[in-house]
Amino acid sequence: MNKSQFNRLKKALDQGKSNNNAASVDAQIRQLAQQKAAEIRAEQRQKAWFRRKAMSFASAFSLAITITAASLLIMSHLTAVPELELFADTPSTTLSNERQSTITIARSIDSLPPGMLATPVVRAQSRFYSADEILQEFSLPSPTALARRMNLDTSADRWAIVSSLSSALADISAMIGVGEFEQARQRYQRLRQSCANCQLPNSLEELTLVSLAPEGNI
Amino acid sequence: MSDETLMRLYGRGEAKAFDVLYQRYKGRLYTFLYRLCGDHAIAEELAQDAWLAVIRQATNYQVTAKFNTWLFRIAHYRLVDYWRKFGSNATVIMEELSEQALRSRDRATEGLELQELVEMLRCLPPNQIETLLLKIEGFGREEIAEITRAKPETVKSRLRYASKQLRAAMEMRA
Repeated sequence: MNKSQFNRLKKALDQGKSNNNAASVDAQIRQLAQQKAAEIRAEQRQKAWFRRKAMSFASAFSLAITITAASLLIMSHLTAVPELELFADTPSTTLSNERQSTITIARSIDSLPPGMLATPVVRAQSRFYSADEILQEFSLPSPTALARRMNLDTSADRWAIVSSLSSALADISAMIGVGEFEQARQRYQRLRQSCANCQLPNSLEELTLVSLAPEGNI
Repeated sequence: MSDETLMRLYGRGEAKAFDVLYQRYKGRLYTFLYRLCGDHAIAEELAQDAWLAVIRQATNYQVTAKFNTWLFRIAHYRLVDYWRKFGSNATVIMEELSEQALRSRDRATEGLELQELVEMLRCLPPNQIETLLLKIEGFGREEIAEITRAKPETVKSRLRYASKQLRAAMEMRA
């Protein structure tokens, strides 16, 4: 079929285009189209309603969350528990008044005769104490009291040192309690090595008498 | 307003947009179906099915193809289903052209040309007549391919084959 024949055919068929649906079919199709349009509009109204409700619920919900969070924050500030002083001095770690008054410590350990195991002696009132006797007679200071004497920057530092001192001093105290003085001294030296910031005295006996010295000096 | 805009408006619930579209295409669609199935009642039924499909798909309509391509594609599917069940009957075109040829008695040449075209069309299978009619409706090769779900090369082949058959028929008559 050439172009001319095609155009002729097209013209002929275009002239014949008088066919159409029956009127009843027309009416039916239009009615169904209107029904569908009404359904679509109803669905859109419903979606819009849900959207509005969801928005208002979301804003109310977020407001409620904000108010609750603010209330909890305020309440937490009002009911804050004051910092507890752990390991506070107990009666067992304090010295009686009479012993605190006149005690001096012999620090020149090197000058002691050999064989005495560097046992510093303490002159208190009318008697000398041997090293073992010092450990037996005088109680170890509390970790908190020790920490108070140190020059620490923050309370976090203080807390960390108190924690490491408390377990070591508990061990040492237990060893002294069963007469294991050398083990106690060795344990103390390990503590000193592990806690360079603690500024602890050279010997366990000096530590024992620390609480008798004025605060600020170890 | 374009067909696609009208269809989108209908998808949002504007019933009047559908009325405009329906008015634009109801005649063309019906005539196309009637020429390929040969029966008024069948053509009405097929056309009604096609329009109902358009109504049902209103909210899903995507502007990926032109509205008329989409509409005729729906009609094509209905037609193919009908041909499968009842066979094709494209004699309507022949009758239409023959009637016109007779009316063109006074213009002899014109009448003869139409008669020749009728004879040519008788040789063609239904899918080729459909392709031809879609071309007459103004669809391009790509659009015809989309409507008939064929490849553009297949559409080209059909049109070329139709021309070849028609030429052969003419030579035989001569």
